[in-house]
Amino acid sequence: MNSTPDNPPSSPTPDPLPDPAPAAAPRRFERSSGDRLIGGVCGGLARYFGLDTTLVRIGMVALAALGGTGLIVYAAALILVPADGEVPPGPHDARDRALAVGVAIVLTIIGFASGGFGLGALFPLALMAVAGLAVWWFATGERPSGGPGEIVRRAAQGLGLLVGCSALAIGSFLTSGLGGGVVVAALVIAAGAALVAAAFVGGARWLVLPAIAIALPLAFVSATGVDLDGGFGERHVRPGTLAEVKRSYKLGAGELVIDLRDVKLPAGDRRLKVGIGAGHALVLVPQDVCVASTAKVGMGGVVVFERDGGGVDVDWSDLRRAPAGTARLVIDGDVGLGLLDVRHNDADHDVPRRRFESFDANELNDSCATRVASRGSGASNG
Amino acid sequence: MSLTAGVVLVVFGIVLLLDSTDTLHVGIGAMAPIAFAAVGAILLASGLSRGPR
Repeated sequence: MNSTPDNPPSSPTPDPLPDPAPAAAPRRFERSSGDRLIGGVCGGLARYFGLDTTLVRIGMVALAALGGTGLIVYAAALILVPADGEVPPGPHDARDRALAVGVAIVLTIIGFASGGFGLGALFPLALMAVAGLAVWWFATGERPSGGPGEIVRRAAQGLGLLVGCSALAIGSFLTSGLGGGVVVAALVIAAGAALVAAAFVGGARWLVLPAIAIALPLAFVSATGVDLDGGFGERHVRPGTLAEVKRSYKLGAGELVIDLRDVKLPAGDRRLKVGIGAGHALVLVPQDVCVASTAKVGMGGVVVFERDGGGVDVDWSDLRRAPAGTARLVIDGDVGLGLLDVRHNDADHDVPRRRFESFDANELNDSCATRVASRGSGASNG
Repeated sequence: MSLTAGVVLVVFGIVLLLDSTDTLHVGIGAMAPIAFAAVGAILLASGLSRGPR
């Protein structure tokens, strides 16, 4: 157990002095057990090359961002490089290493089979593994330690926890958006009450993460006013006559296009309510119609011709008066998360940006008076 | 930690319940700090309960 004459001269017991006389023994690249965030690879590299660990970590993250190379280097070092002070590999370590090498080979085969050099496909997998480790670390408060097999196991556990909490969060978002916010809030309160009870009788600590996972989406939905009632997907309506135009259009999530360009609106006001929980609502109006608009937006924006506004808790109001004898469409928008867009034409996609380019400002100026005046002067194309 | 997290979650849940029933309207400008404060309090309690490593 203790040092034997067979042991190499590279000190079996740790030296109490901090890294004395590196020239005394040949330098070895070992993972650092004292300076580590995950497996001590960056700490070991920094010690080996005499660099600041933070710089090495930044470099490793940069390499990871460049096609995942850093992650593969890190994983390889984790598998192949021993930790400092590590006991000679026993049967257990050998099994762990074999498992880790097997996982690495499988990942590499998957990467190559997915096309290219494989790095692009390995990157998401490696990222998931790192995310799993981070979640596991957060949940347990323990840094990953032990052999590579143990680290892989913990990464898988963390990933499972992440997937479970994500599923809960999505479920909470949908339930809250579809009107079940009261139920979700009650679940949050129940989880909180269970945790208070657990403080005295023990257990139930695991409820913290699921409770947060369902509480935050509900908070978002409640605050932004996202209303998913009304369906999902893409909805395009193009009424041909005034009688076909509804007073209100609503979509839960997706894209809602209300094309009124074929409708001949009579002089006077016509009100139109447009509601979208999350997504894009586009209203296309005839050229000779003035538009006034009000809207409440939880998070997102409103674009009405060349005017736009956005942010959180947006209260939009643009009430223009129309000259006598002109039709005015008064749009009342309700957007939870997304954009309410009013245009004359499908092609006006970049209207706000076009303000900064050189073009005839009157082309997009929707001042009703200007438009009517220009029509009155006979300068129209039909 | 469980006690702090539980109390925070109960209070946060009540705010969410009131908002969901339209008894109280909290915009995202106010809800975001409340949510971050709740999560921050739980993390703080969690970190303090583990003690220095």
